[in-house]
Amino acid sequence: MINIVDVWHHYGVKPILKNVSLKIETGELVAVMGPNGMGKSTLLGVVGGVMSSIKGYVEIDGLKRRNSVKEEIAIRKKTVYLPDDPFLPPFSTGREFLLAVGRLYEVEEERLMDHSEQLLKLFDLEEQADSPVRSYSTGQKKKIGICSALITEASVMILDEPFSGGLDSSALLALSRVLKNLADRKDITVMMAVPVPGLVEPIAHRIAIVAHGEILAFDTAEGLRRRTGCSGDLGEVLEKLIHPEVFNNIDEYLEGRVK
Amino acid sequence: MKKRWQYIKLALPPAKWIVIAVIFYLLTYSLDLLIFGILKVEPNEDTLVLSRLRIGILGVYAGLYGLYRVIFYHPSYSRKYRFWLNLSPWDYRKRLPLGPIHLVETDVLFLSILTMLAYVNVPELVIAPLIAFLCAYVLMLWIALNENQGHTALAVLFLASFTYYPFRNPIVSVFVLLGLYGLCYWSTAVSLENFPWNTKWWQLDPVNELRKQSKILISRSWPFRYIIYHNQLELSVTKAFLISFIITWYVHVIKWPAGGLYEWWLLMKLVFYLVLFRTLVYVSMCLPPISLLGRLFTFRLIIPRYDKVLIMPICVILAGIATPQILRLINLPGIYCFELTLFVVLFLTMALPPKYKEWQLTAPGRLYRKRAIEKNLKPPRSTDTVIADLVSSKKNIFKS
Repeated sequence: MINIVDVWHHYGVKPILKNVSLKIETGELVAVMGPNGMGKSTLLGVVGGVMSSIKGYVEIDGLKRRNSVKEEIAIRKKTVYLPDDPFLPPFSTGREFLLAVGRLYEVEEERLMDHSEQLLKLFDLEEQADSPVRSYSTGQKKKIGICSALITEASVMILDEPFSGGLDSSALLALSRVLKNLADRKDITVMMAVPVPGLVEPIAHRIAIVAHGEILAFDTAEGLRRRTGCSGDLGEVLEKLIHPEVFNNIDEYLEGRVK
Repeated sequence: MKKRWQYIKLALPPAKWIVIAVIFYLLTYSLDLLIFGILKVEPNEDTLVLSRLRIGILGVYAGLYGLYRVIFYHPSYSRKYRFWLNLSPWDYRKRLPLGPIHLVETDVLFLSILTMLAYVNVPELVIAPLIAFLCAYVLMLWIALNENQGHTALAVLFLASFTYYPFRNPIVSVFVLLGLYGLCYWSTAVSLENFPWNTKWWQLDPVNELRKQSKILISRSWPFRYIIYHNQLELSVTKAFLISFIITWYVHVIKWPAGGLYEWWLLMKLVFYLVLFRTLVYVSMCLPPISLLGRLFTFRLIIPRYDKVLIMPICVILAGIATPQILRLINLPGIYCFELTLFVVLFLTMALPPKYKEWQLTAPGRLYRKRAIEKNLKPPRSTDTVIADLVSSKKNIFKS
């Protein structure tokens, strides 16, 4: 379970997160959505532990993040945070990196070997697996980053924009299927930032809409539709919540052109 | 008897090394031949340099032999040897299969030859090869002790100062070094009794060994790097006390008698660099949660959980200023004021909170992503690359 309580954050003067509170139950997959620059990555960074909130706190399975040495070690063992632009060791091979990450999380050695093989196959990286990471394309680097998060077998996954960064169609399909599988499991909690509404609806249990550092809504896709009175796709629902004026602007523009 | 001879013979360096060493030593006599035989120069003060040169060579041989005797025979220095020993039926009651690490007859024979040669050259420096050998030999034994016999290693480090202080006598040095050898040998024997070792330098368990190596690889990535927390900089109060004491003691031994203005100036510089170093290590690990401007505009001038990182520098600077003043009030001689101030400063720098591990895991700031380092990360250079670079640079020189 991830419990975000009254979190505030600002780097300088302008607040990035304002009084954010969310409770994500164990086994849930929650997508965080919202326009660019509104605090999604900062929120995930705070939950992932790479930054601290100015006010408020984050709890993972009842343990407070960055509160005490014992609690933080326990959290780190069960949590994986994947930013949108991870840095992979350029002179190691993809396979070496995956195995190293798995070992860091103390995954059993035989299982680790098997899992790494499966992941490399799933994301079509078998040929490049033994080449240094620096020779990978942007999309391949993204794939290895995703594999590194999955290989940890952590029970809490914080994924920042896993679908972006040049993934090809087969990787998008593979990732969404894997995430769907994780969502169906009762022991894994996933919190991820996704900018594309179409990818979210089939896999996310609930969706948190972040804008201007605040949570505008936190509900299921159906709940959000009911709330906005919009029966269209999730993109429309999102726009209704974040930019209600967009629809008027579109209508006005189209009417003007017809005239 | 025959068996023993076969065993101690193992301690001898390879024959070709001995031949090369002898040839090189004899070559120095060709200079004698040139100067005294062909140029017919009468022996004088200047020509003594040749004898001293030979003493230097003998000292180097003895030192190298000391290094060789431990590095090639001590299981601490060879990973393959350790693993092999672990898989073999060897235990501490049996002889080490590659050869002895304690002093044996062949060492006495080898050192006797070097000592005789030293006597022939400069009788006053007859003891030089023995001191060189013991220094190198004890040093290597001491390095090996550091991992699993930490307290003995500290004791040896402290006692080693008596090779120089207070008598500064080569005979006393030899006796102290022999005493240190005895202590190191006893401690090594104790550590061999506890073989196989499982320490942080090396892991017996292959999976743990792999995990340890994985940490090195992961430390070049983001954000997995931040998951690893390091204990290397972790010092207990007792350890901080002992390290500060030993450093101060060595300053006392080497600088004795001193305590002038120049030393005080050096001490102030040391305080500055220590404070700067520790603060930078902590701050570069975790940046402040908000910028200075943010603090000013939001009236959060002090963020107690983060700003505790400044406790150490403030205390160390205050201690650096106040300690000598207080000590002078009780009319303590300048040299003792200096040494005690040094001790206090070092101790506070190492012992004051927050602990490094605590800071890594709980500091309320932003973990610093070192993008500049990521950009400039270079592959480890193999020997082949180094040679290829050298060859190409030579080619360029010839071209120009």
